[in-house]
Amino acid sequence: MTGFRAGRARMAAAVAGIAGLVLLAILPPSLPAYVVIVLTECRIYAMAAASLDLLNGYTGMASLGHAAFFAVGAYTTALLTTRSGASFAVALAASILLAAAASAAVGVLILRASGIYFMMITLSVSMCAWGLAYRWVSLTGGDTGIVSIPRPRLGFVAGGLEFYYATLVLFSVCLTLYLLLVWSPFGKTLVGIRDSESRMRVLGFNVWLHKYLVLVIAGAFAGLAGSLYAYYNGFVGPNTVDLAHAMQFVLMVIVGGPGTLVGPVIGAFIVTLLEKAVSVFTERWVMVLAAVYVVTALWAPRGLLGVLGVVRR
Amino acid sequence: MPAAPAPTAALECEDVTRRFGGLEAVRDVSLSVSAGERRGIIGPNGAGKTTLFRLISGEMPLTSGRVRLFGRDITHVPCHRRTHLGLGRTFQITNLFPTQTVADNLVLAILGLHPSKFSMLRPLWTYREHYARADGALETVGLAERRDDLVRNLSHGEQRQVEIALALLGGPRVLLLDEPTAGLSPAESARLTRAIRQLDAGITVLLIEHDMDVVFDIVSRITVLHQGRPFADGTPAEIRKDPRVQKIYFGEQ
Ligand SMILES: Nc1ncnc2c1ncn2[C@@H]1O[C@H](COP(=O)(O)OP(=O)(O)OP(=O)(O)O)[C@@H](O)[C@H]1O
Ligand SMILES: [Mg+2]
Repeated sequence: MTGFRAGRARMAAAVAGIAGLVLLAILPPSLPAYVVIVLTECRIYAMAAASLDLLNGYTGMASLGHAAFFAVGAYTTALLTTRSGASFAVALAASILLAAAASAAVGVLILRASGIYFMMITLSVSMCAWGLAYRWVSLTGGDTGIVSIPRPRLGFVAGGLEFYYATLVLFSVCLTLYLLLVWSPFGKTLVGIRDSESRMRVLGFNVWLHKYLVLVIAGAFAGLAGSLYAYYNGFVGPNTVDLAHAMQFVLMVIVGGPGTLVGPVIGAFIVTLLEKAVSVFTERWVMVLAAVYVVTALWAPRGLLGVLGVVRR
Repeated sequence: MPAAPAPTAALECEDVTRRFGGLEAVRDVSLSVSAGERRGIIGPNGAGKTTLFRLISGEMPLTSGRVRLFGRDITHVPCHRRTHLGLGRTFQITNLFPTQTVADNLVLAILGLHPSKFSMLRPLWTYREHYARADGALETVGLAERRDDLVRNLSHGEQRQVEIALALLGGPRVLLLDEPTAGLSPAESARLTRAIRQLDAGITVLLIEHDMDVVFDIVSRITVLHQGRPFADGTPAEIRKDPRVQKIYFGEQ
């Protein structure tokens, strides 16, 4: 992305992004409480979906295991806050570190596979994580999960909006870091790997190392999102890491447009809002999820941004 | 690295063998290419030429044998490290970054050997020195006006030029060219041949090529592969005259 046209597109995207953030910042006091809650959820999922996009869209590693690292963050926060009354900062930091450590450990294993096998092995990572959450009752509470996670007391805004603003700040920080990452030389190497691993190797890149690093980075961000989710939801159970949840992240990326960051953020908002809307009428959210999947795959493989002609890929 | 007694060859293969199941694609290939030499590798389809390149570049492990680069045993050195040791290659089937601009393709080639490839917080476009080098390379291959076009929108001929430009940006001391003129028009092919001949005389070049005019124009020595084995070896004139080579190679064309 160089040159005048790309530069202008970047400017436009930046302006739109900042406008969106400003709206998210000034509107809430005048919005119904329910909307504020849903917007918070949207943003948490957007952080997770955009971190998955680093793997899925940018590096071309179709991971179905991302929910596992999200869950590591969620359970870490749930345990630390309910058992030892950890502060917001401590719970957040621990969740990020443990999720990064988990993906560093799992990464050694799953990077032995590529393509369709990578998808299958990451899917099994999700399923193992679910199994652990479900069976390791002494730690995770099994099916009951961990309940009564207290909202963090931050005390910088009144009126019950402090958590809203905390996630907004973290969301903005995350997005900035994501953008810096994909704009950086390292980010370009990820796209290079997506386009041609063999060429990257011959150019002198240790492809494995780049994939490993992005896996750990994406895992860390998923852990952050998971931690916020635990606070937001007040409850963490095996459904955090079940198949539907894992696929939901992937769907957010695909619906918005993989490899664009902005797309998955929009995708997260769309899928989350859709879920809220659908569940008013029916219990069959997973079916609707699957239908959206099929429609996207068939008619909009590059997602919303692809349909709008924003992506030049 | 111990000093070798004789002048060290740029590239040495010693009994290099690669099996795919029952098929011996490359069998006991030994060759020694001295620094600055231009060596042609020819042979009929399926002779094992590309496989040999992949063994030399480290894209694929050897079944047995040794590969040495400037006297250093690189048999077990991973592919990307070999690039840092001065090996470069192009692909028979164009292998670029199609979703990226021409400039970014070249910048990726520069990053390959540059520590800034791990930089994560500074936008790539602020690395003026990388883009300046890429622009220089674009001038050289005459693609300056295509700079901001996506590579997948280039013509086949232009892509073949980018292919070579990428390899050259790595500053290779030994360059493996796998049918660089594949699919080019005669005019494009002639231009590319001239460009290869004008490469720095210090660069050792191994050239796989089906177009005999190109081979005879560039190389000083030819190794013929047949069914994975070295079949003949000599100057272009000797090879041209060799009736056995004519039988297996020219005979079938
Ligand atoms: N990865 C692989 N797995 C199995 N067989 C392979 C593989 N790569 C090459 N071969 C086989 O090895 C033999 C040599 O192939 P290679 O591509 O090296 O030939 P080549 O001399 O480059 O031919 P061409 O002139 O057509 O490019 C062929 O029979 C090919 O089918
Ligand atoms: Mg070949």
